[in-house]
Amino acid sequence: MNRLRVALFLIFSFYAPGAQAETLTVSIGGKLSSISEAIQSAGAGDTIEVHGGTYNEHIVVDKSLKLIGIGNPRINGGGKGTVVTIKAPECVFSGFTVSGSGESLSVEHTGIVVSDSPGTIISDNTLEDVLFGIYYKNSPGGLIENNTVVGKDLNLPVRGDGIRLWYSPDTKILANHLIRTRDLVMWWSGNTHIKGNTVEKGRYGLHYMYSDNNLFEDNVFIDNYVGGFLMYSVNITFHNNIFARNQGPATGYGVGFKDLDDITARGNLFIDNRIGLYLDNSPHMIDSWNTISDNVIAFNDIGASFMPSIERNLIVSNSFIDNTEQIEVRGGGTLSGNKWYESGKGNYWSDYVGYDANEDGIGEMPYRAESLFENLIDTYPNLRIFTFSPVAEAIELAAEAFPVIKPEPKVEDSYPLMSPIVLETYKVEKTGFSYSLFFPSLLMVLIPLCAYLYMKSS
Amino acid sequence: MDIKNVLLIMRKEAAESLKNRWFILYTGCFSALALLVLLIATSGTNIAGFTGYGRTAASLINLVLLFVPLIALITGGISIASERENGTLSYLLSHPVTKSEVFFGKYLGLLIVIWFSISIGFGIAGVGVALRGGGGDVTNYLITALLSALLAASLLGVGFMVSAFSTKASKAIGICVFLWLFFIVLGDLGIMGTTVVLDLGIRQVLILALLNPGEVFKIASVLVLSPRFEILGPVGVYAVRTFGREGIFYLLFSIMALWTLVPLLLAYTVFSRLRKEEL
Repeated sequence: MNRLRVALFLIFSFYAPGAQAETLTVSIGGKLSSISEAIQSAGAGDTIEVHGGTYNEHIVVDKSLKLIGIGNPRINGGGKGTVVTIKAPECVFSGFTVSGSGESLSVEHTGIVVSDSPGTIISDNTLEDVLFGIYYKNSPGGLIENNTVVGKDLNLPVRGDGIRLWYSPDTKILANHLIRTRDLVMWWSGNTHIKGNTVEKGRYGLHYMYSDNNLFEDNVFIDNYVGGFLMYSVNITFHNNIFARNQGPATGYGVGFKDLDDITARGNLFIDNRIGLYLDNSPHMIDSWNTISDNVIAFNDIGASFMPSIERNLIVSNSFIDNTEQIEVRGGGTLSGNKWYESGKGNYWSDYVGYDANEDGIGEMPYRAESLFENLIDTYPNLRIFTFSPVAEAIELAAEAFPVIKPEPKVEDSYPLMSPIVLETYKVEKTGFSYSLFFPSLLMVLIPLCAYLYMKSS
Repeated sequence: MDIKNVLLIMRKEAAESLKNRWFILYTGCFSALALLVLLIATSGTNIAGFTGYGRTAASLINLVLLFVPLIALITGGISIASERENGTLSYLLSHPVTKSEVFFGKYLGLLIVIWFSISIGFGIAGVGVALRGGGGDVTNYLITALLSALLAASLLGVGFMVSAFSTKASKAIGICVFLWLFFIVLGDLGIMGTTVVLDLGIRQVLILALLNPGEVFKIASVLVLSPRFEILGPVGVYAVRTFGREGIFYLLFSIMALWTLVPLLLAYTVFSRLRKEEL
């Protein structure tokens, strides 16, 4: 029986060599000391384990291989070209540090390029000093997980993208951290799931076009020019993301939508951006409605900015807190084609001055965004220079006294909430006692008082 | 001009003003309002580690703009005119002091008193906010206080100019109240109206706005408090792009300095040319 087994085994291993995957080991000073060499001698389906150390080479993976870094090996391209190129399906590339790509935008020098390789997994890598970080071309069904990309220290216009998808749908982008790159950008890559990533100090935290049915959740987009700018796509769901301190000059959107249909935006935090939420021609299909609910939009210069023709957005249960201007209609106008409340429930507005007589949490008077000064600055942006001047208050007072010059409300919310809804995830916490403010302030009181007493005595 | 005499007059003027009830009333009102505004605006909360402190301090700017120019203008307006009316000025000048010593001594004395008020107001509000637990950037807070002090210096100078031209205190006060209204509301309202009617460009709006010391103070404060100058719209962006982030401050401080020195020197020229029987 035993002999028969051995014979069968030998026959099967001869006819199906791929089923018997080998493991090759690469290490500095070992039998295999170059990764490229190992790839050449490996067969499809093999695993290559690379041990710690620096490998100065450019790697092209042209077979379906698993490359596993053990002890954080570094692959250094020496500042030239693309460092790692994967050109075979279902590869795995994990546990490496990749550094030193070239700096050409036109030929797209990249840390890791995945080209025509469906189902490729790039995980647990660190990419430093690279122009583009991870670039999937025509490679659907991939997974990009737990990588860190730190871009080259270049001016924004000559940086490359941290992660870029090009015709690569069904991809998962999970728990990556992009620092100082250009964009996390997707083109023609639908059905993508983006979760738990942090993108900071870049241009667009998230940018995509022609990519339908995407879900993104639990991401943080902070200190970018623009948190997210999404264009020409349908059925986009995003929740529990944080868009904070995105303050690029002339842009600075938390999130901007351009020609986007069937959006569901729920439980996101838009905080301290120049403009929290920007809607341009979204939805643009006549039968499409967007749902924007349970978001917190706080401390932005402008809470939400709309083009005047925007219609068919359902905006409920959001909290608009202390935005300098809560709602802007660019060029002036009203947003009556949108719904600001549903089944007796509207939004929370921190500048609402009504009351709640029956204590059901809903204000008895409608909230109206009808500031004359805001209407003026929406129509004549040059007048924004007078923001925070007493003249702005004086104009409001005049509008109250003489209703004839009172503008039509930009927004009318018939069921304003009396208190904000802030999801558990984003706790509202008290700040502690501030010594750094207390002592200088105390001095500011005491010094004049002492001087006064001194003068009185002499 | 003997500095010793200037300091002497300054102390006399400051001591007299401090005894005055207006000083206590004014300081009390300013402190209480500043405290109230800051407490309402901070309310001690933040969301996920972010606070809206910039906007808080912005509401303080509004308060400063209403209070400080009013008191500086009126104090300045009363200064020389009332003493001329009472005849105390000629009595003072019969002592071995020169006109310039009296003039600059008076200006400095009154300025210090106003600075005391501002300092106490900002201080009390700051202590209150700190106790309540609404942190924020201390440097920005102190810079806002400093800018308020500069605003007081320039409008006190304007008040002195009005006073030097007036023979009666009541007339000087009237003119000063009108100037206050002009600097704070009417001037800006005029620019806004003109912009809407004549469709003024970015440069024209900027130049017109920079003519007003109140507006200069506000722009400087907002630029200090907000990392994003876009909050002031295209005109703000244009100003920062043209002069640079630091350059714009130099420009604003120079305008403030001009608004202090020119009226003050004009006032001094008029005052020093007054004949003995006119005092």
